[in-house]
Amino acid sequence: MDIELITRAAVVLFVIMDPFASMPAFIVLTKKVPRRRRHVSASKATTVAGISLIAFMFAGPPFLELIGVTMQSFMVAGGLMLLLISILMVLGMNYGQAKESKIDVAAVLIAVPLITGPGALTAAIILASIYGVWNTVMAVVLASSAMWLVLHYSEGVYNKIGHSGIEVSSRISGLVLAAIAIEFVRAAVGM
Amino acid sequence: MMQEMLFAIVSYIAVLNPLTIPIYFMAFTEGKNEKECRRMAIRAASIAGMLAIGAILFGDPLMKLLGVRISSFQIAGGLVLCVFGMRKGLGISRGFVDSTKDPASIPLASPLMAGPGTLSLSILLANQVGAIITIIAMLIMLVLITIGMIYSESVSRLMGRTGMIITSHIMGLILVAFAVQFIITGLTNA
Repeated sequence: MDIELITRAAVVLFVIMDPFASMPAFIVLTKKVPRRRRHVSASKATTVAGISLIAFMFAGPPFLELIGVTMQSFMVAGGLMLLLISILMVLGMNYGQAKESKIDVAAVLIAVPLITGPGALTAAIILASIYGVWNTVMAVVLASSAMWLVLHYSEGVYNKIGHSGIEVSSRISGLVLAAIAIEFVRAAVGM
Repeated sequence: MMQEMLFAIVSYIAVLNPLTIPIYFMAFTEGKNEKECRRMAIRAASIAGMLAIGAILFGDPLMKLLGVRISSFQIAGGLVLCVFGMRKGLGISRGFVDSTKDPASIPLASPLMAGPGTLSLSILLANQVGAIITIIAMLIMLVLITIGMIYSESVSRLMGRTGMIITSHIMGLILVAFAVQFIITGLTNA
């Protein structure tokens, strides 16, 4: 356990978990429900996201090996999907938005694939190989907690920076994510 | 004869990992009941079987006629899988919904079961050990996979709605990885 490594990994994960995509989706989803329920959904979404991410970190690599997918292909795949997501974000298109009316199911849909998307899954496995598994687990917990704060106070943030503020931030972070996606692919093919 | 049969079956297992298909199958059974799942599994397997038999009998002459190499086939199949996986993984269904209301045929039967790997292997095996042995080996393989798919349904019931949504999205990512692998194989064989 190394505080510095954990923090560094957590920051990377938090950026890839992409608060500026999850927050608008969460706001749309919880517009009509009372505050109490909204807070429950925020906890549910982030808990599910964190647990799936940690579970995948442990189960993912042996599973990929079992079905004969190399780590390299997985990184290219994660990179390609993250690239697609970020392009949709820069163009201002929505994806994976909950059509579900049931708020519990919708919270899960925000957890995966919005918070724990292909980018976070790929990043978690790469980070685990660089920083060590337990440091990364701690980082996932930290990043999910940060996401929880974002969702919990989403209403306040939204009121403060407004709709166009969110829109602009979402497009800029889409650009950063696209670059991270390219990094994944380049790391895999060794460029 | 026995030895050739074994060789054919082992080759099919190598290309068409029998564990993989039931796992992908689970990604498409969300919200379906047991009977529908069973029908879908059998349907997917029979379509794949017919495609493979077609490839065994007519594959080689057809590819030669059209001037298509197996590696091109792998790259094309990989790209198709890529798009499927991305849609699955991101939960994008609006816009191009469901002309694929029938996931049993596409993508389960082809390109997942009777994909570029299986079809090209079928063509190769037919050349090597003869069409009849290849067909029998392939059928044995499909029966195993079908049993796996039907059994996977009870696993998915254990996992519940939340578990299935999560698995389906993560499976999409793994499908893309699988697709990338196909494309890489195609490119290196080019």
